[in-house]
Amino acid sequence: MRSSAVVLFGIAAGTAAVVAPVALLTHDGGGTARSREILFTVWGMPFEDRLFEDGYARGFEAEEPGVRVEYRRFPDVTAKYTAWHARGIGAEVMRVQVTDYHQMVERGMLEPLDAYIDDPADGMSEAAIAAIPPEMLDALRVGGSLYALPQDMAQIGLYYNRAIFDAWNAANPGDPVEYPREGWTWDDLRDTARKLARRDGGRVEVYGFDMFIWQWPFMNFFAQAGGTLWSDDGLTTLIDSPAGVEAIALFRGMVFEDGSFMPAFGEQQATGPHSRFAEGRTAMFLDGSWMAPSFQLRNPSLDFAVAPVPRGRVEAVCAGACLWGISVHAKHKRDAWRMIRWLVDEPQALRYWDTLRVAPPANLAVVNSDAFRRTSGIASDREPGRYLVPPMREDEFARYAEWLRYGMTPRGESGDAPAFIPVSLYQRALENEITALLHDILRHPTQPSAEDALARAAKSVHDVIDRDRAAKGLPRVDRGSKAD
Amino acid sequence: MGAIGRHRRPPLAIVLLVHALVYAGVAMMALPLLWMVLTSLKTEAEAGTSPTFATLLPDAPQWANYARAFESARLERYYLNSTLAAVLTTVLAVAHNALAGYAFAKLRFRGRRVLLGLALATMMAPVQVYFIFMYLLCTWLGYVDSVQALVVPFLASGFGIFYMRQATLAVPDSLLEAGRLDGMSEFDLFWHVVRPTVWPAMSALGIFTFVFSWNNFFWPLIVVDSERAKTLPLALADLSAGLYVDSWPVQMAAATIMVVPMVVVYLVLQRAFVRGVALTGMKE
Repeated sequence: MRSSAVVLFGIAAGTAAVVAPVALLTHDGGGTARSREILFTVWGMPFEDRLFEDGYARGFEAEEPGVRVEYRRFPDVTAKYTAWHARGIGAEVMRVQVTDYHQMVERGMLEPLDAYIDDPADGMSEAAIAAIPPEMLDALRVGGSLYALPQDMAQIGLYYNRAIFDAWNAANPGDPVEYPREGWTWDDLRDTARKLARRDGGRVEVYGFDMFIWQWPFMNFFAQAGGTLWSDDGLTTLIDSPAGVEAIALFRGMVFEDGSFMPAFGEQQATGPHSRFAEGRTAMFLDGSWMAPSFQLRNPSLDFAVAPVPRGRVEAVCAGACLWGISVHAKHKRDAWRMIRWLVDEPQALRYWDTLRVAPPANLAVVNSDAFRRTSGIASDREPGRYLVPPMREDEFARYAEWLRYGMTPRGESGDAPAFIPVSLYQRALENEITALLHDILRHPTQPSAEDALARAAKSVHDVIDRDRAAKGLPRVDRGSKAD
Repeated sequence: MGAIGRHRRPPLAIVLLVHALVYAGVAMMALPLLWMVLTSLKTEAEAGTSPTFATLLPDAPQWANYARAFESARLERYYLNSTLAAVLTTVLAVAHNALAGYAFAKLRFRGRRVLLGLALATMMAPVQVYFIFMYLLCTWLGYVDSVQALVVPFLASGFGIFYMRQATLAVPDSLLEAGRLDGMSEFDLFWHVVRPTVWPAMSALGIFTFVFSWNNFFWPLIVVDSERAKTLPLALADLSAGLYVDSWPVQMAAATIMVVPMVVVYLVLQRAFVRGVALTGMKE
């Protein structure tokens, strides 16, 4: 046979072998005759399998012997859930990001939970419902219905390097600074950051204040200035308001007037604000609750603590959440509901905190319990003495975790807790615009003006909303004086 | 002395400037890779230190980071999947694209222009636009959660067909006519006349395809459901969650491990690759 014929045959045979449809193992939410199989999906890192797989999946199987839990972890679940939904399949128990929640509800991807919650035989007890922060339940209600229950309530806080504060006080006994604490105001933050920032020629020795350029800090200070992100119908953003101008003035003041904050554009990863704080070069760092164990691991000698964010006119703490929901395509919804009810119950909520310590569980009974004051972490299997997540001793609670109670505790006359979860159908579009806005306004003290930047961001968000509604055949939103 | 022999050497300043620009370009390309390798050998504390010349090198290389990368991301499980998908995709895609490129360049058939236009149109839309349709197609064919799902959608591409067509246009028609007069079949012509000429372009396309398949993250994220079919980019993504990175040295060690096969493929095919990139601009 000629060589060319052999090659042609090889290409044809190789292609045929690869292209030939083969029935393969694909999960369709089904189960075996002996046990009902439910699919449990999460995102996260491999070490989190200790909680989600070993603790939750296997734990629920022990609780319900007739159920087998198929556990799967993905690096990103949003595209995955969307593709599954298009195919008409879905997981029984899905971990969902709160930012995606309203979109998923709108697309009909999530099963309403009200009937399960209120079921006299299989529902939730009043105590279990009361343990969930009420502001969180409010944020999750769509048209009066709940489509998911919260796992946690991550919050933004003020990390501070105690050694830098102590060094200042030792060198300046006549002008001492105090550690950040609950009740601090914006002025306290600015004054202290200004004092602690230190340059040696062109080199920054100490960053007075630092943060990533992302949406949470803006939303936090915007709310503290009395702003509301969305209109009641969620179709008009209200960021182009005096509260937005005030929040921008705070950031610009620290950058251009005080010189205490040097924004890191593009340094979002290894050499950015996280590393500077871990290295001991930042006095105060605004970031999420998930960073405390990471800083402990990265630099065990770092003498840091965390305080609630300083308050403005209004007490507010920006928060986020991971949720548990059921796909509308799930085959064993009753089992899925039992697992979700079990997951948000006190022992499992406590286990989440005890293992990962990235955010307080969305369970007030746990947060206010003594058990909340210490955690076990995750020890390495292969290297004795090494931790993948460091434990927290009880004497470390005041430094690393007590601040989390502030955001979840009702305050004063209003009776509302400061923590709020920014949610809306178009939340992602708004958050993208806020990040872009910060990149704009932190490069120059006056250009663009705060009003122009906010108006531009609002217009971009409204364009997204209008395009989306037009594509769905819905009428354009009448924004009156805000019409773009 | 003929005209060729009268080439004047450019002034020394120009030569130095060109060399400086080339080395600057090399440094820009190579430094991130060097950074990756050096960080993979550092301790957590060293990796978190602001970069200066003094902190560029690790005090003592932490080879254990590579063991931790295998432990954390379970890389050994996914290496085989990535290798299988990338090799199959590369071999078959190069063969299909080269044959299709030959057909579009040298054969005359009804609808040729329309078909080429359609092939080129596939280059206009990003995968996010049509991934749901591709995913449903893979579902109907039973490919989901298998290596097939990682290979079959990429067996031919608009870019590959166009690239090989441009390369094949450089082959003189007279050679093909002579072959046809000698009774050679079209595949004989492709294999014995066209392939030796367009081999550099095939090598270049092979590198492009291998790198694309090896690095592909979004598509495997959609079509791979279980651990057994997972690929290396998915495993690497497991080591961080948004801005939260568990360990930079371990992440960089995993990235270094992932980059090695691409470097090997490039080194093997680099001479042909350079010629291939240059060749596709030629015409008869």
